Amino acid sequence: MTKHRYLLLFIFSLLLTAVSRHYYLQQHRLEMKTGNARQNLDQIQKSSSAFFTNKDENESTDETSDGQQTETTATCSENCNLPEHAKGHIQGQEHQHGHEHEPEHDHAGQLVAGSATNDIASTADEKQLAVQAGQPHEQTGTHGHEEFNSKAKLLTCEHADHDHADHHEHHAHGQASDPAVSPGFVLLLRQLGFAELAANLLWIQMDSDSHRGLWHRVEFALELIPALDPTFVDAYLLRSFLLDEYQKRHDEALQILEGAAKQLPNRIELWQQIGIFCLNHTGRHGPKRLLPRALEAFQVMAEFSDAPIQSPRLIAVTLAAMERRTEAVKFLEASSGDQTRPLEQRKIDQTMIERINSGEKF
Amino acid sequence: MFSRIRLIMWDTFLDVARHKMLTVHLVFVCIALGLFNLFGHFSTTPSLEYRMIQDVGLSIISLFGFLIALFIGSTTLRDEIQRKTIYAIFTLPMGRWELYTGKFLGTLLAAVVNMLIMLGILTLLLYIKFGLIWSGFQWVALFMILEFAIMTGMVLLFSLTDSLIVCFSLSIFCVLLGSMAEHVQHLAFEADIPLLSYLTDVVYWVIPNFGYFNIKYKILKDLTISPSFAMWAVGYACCYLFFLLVAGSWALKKKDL
Repeated sequence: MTKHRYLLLFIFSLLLTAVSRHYYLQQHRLEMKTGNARQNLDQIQKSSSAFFTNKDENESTDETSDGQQTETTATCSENCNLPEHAKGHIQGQEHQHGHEHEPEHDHAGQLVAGSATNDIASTADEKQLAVQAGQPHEQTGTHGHEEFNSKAKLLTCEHADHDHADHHEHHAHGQASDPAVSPGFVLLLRQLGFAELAANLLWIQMDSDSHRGLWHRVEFALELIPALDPTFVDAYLLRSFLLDEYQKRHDEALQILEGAAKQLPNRIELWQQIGIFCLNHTGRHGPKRLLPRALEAFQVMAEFSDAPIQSPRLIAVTLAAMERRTEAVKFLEASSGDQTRPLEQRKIDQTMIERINSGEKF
Repeated sequence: MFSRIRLIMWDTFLDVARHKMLTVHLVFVCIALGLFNLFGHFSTTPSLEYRMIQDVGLSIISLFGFLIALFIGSTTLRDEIQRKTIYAIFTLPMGRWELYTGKFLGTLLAAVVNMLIMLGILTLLLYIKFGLIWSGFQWVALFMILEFAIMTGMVLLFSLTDSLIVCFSLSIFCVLLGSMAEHVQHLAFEADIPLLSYLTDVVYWVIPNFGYFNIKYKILKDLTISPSFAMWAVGYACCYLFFLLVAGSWALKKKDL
């Protein structure tokens, strides 16, 4: 017995380790609320087939052109009243929370332009012609949403030019470098503990892929990024936008946002976007409108300490759409009477009151 | 028995503390953690920047912690054997397992002290930059201690092999495999080769899964860790350490010294 003491102890300790591991594993999954690696990998594998699909170059080019059509040099109306430009403003918020990406490639900006296309004139065709002719493209404004953050620009906000055309031009001449971040590398980074870094790198790769027209890879990346970093709000927003704008899968897009909001209830931009989707002011999601949900989302948004300045108007417009006009006017009157709000905002509130009182349909 | 183990442990710790290598490590860590602004450009808000720095900072600490455990663990017992001072220890009335346990605890103490210094530096830098006190500090420290304890135990066990290169290779291989154990098992299952699947199953149960000690995701999202979960983690780590100590003591006993 003494002779084999170490052997017995070894076997005993091995068994003890296996048992403790089994119970700890259960506890770990319960605590971290994660599925097992098999489920995660199955999910990734399911999506990865799209990633490795070779697409025809021409097809890619076509897709690129389609993408370009949504990018507009948008000029808002003088008053920039909501809700016509609500979508734009909503995405303006996103700028404050965005992850790392090249400013001129800001996909959030694409959302702005894409959403605003219904209401505003487009000069994209002119721009494209200029690029094709080899002329330097003169930007009509800086890209980005700093403009939205500025109160003055809320009145006369020129939506920024996304300037994709220039970028596709660069890619065509092989001037732009490809980040070449493979999903395997990203997964390895995640395993080594650099999950956020991996998500950011994949975002950069996705951005590059989008400019090369590899939309199947973009879709894959947008599914993988939240799996790597569930707090990557931009990925949720962009994915829902792509589903909504290009694939017309509006319900699915809304579901993604709702799921993200459950996970990240403190992210204001998610509530804003949910509100906009449910309000469906321009009818781009078909006849379906979820006004009570829109109102709820906007109210949640308005409760944040850093709520966007246009929040009261969004709530009022939703109330007006629900034909609760008296309530909407009362709400806006209270808002316009608030001395802490900037003067120009109070003026816009007044204009909106007039519009609601005039019986305008929202 | 305990006094003898404590004596060996303290002696090992002092021996490690005299080593200049650790000072160099700490300088590297300070430089790596000090490069705050490099990570700043990944974010657009202070909260995101804070999380980003925490994330990268913890990963740096994990990496350097492993390197420290690797360098200390692989040399402490080996040096005693090579310098033949181990024979003097064997003349004392103590078992080989006591020597091994003492060496392990001394190495672990050195690794833990280093890790706490690194975490302290990170916390201080975060406080200086953001004016916030890191709330999940104690949980991160606990789980890192458990992780490093297992790593140290493994390295010490492998240091009993004849070659330093073998020790390094085995240690790095096991840590990498331990970090990706579940994925490797899954890939082997998907490959549909029964023998490979069987082998990976065995490896899966023998090699510790370091992923289970990675609570960064929860801590970075400012979520709490339940004490029962922490207890389970401590229990699992203790069981695995017991296994490593038994294996190491057995190997030392079998070694022709």
